[in-house]
Amino acid sequence: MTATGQARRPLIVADSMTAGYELERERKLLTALEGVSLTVHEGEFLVLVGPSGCGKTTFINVIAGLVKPWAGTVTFDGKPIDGPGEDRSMVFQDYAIMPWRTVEHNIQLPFELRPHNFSKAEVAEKVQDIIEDVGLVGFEKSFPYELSGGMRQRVGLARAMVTQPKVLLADEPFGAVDAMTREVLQAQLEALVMNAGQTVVFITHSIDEAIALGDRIAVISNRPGKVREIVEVDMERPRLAEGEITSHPRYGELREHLWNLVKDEALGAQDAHHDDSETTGDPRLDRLSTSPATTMDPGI
Amino acid sequence: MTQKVNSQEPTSKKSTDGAALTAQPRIKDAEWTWARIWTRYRFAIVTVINLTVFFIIWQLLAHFEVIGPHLIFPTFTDTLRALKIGWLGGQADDGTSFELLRDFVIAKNAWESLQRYAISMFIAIGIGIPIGLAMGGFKWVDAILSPYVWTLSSLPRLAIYAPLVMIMGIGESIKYALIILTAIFPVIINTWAGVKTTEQSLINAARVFGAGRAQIYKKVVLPYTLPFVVSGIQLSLSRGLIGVVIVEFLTGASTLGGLGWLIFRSASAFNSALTYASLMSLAVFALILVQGTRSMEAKIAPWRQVSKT
Ligand SMILES: Nc1ncnc2c1ncn2[C@@H]1O[C@H](COP(=O)(O)OP(=O)(O)O)[C@@H](O)[C@H]1O
Ligand SMILES: [Mg+2]
Repeated sequence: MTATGQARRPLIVADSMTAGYELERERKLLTALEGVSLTVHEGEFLVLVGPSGCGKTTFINVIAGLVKPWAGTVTFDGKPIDGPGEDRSMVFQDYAIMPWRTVEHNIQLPFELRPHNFSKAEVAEKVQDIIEDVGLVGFEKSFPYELSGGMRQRVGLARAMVTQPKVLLADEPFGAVDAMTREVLQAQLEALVMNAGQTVVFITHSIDEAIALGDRIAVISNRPGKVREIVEVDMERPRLAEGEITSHPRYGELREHLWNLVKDEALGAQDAHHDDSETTGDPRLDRLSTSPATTMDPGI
Repeated sequence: MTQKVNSQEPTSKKSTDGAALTAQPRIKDAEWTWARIWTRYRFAIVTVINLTVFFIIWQLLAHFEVIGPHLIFPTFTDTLRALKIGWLGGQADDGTSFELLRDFVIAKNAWESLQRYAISMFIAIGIGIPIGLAMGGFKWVDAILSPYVWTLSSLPRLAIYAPLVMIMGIGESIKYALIILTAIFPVIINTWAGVKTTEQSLINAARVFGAGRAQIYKKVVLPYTLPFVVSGIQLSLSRGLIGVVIVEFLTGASTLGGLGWLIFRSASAFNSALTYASLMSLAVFALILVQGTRSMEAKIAPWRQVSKT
């Protein structure tokens, strides 16, 4: 997994890529990333850190094929990215698992959405295997609302890994999970990924998490985001299987270096004013409560 | 084998609570004290006392004609008698009752109303859901229908009865049209709101894992919208009931105009016992309807209940 020293094959290549959003209500364009050039090598674990609102999610969404860049190119395996593909899976910050599906049905969703050649029994076996890998045994028939945040993200992770994708994209997957569960999940992720030899692009706002997981750490500057520096983490794996990673001799140096980089950016950050509550921008909806049992209907 | 045991764990976790209760040695009958009976049945006891007091006060008020003469305010016992004749038959024989109070008169009119109500609701829900889905899913459908839906749904429905009656007269079809118009909007608006508020991150997840437009609708938007539709239906059901009563109030039928008609007709004929008997019948039906549909959303979409708290 540590690709250092081996011949590294570029897998995802962003070349002076610019991306952003049309703000419909304010009728203007918002540039999230400007001229980003970054290469993700096959089999590496690349971590993106940077101040909030600098465009990390946008970058990972471009790779996922959810957001189209305005300018520049992003290629996957030499071909321009045009929409999502089965070689790329994603773990979301807010889990994004279907609340009406049980754990096992959530995890088997990728097999329902894309054509494949596996029999029903084979799919069931893959689902069961990954359930064991992420530690969800006994919760196959549970619904997400019956699970803790950490358990929910295990479902998200299992759903992303069940198809053994070439690339795993993870957008602050453990951001909303409590510290203890987070360490367990990090170790689990490291083990899973080392096992399958996946390429990973992982976003975090935690420097410790970045050092714990990353082969390389790309520090993104303030919006519009650019790659400010790439830091190699020259620490052998597995790092999280046992013992405290913080006692590693390289740890302190790396942490300080990264902290200085990130601190500059964080201090310079303008407040990103896009609220994450996905509004539809429809004023009629604002007057409705999100609870379905209310309408403005006056009755008779 | 181990998998099988494991897979039952979450459900058995719930049932163990119940099992633990039954597994415990039962408290012997001898230990049934008044305090115990009280803690267990206090709600039922209070309700019985409450209603008894209510009916006694009613009886006294009517008997001594405090509120008005019997023509206006019937005794509880007269109302019970009207209920019995109206539902179960047994002609009034003391000559005091008015022409309207005939055997089964409430039952027949209730059946009339129920049919009208059921058909109208069936149509209202049957066209309301597709309209809501189409408005939520297609921008241009939304743009075209939106002015009508929002104007009509904000307007007190009673106001559009007059022009509609002018056009169609008081035939049977106008009754259905008015009830449907009264009831349909909560279904439309809730369905629309469900589609519109479907979480973007769930849609993104579906796209990442390969969903096209049709699959996004089938696998994300529709399941997400279902609980919205259900509570829209709940609201529409009670709106529809209002519609039935008003429509029957407006119709000038001479016989068998429905339960709403019977209430108003008997009142204008000063058969107050029949009015109150019909009203009580309607109240019981409405109560059953509301209570019956109340837990519908919780059953269909338990995740919404939890995320609300
Ligand atoms: N769907 C969207 N519509 C409009 N603006 C957005 C949207 N998503 C993100 N943005 C804006 O783009 C910028 C970058 O956002 P994002 O990529 O989410 O940053 P990060 O993940 O680094 O916090 C922010 O200013 C944010 O407000
Ligand atoms: Mg983000």
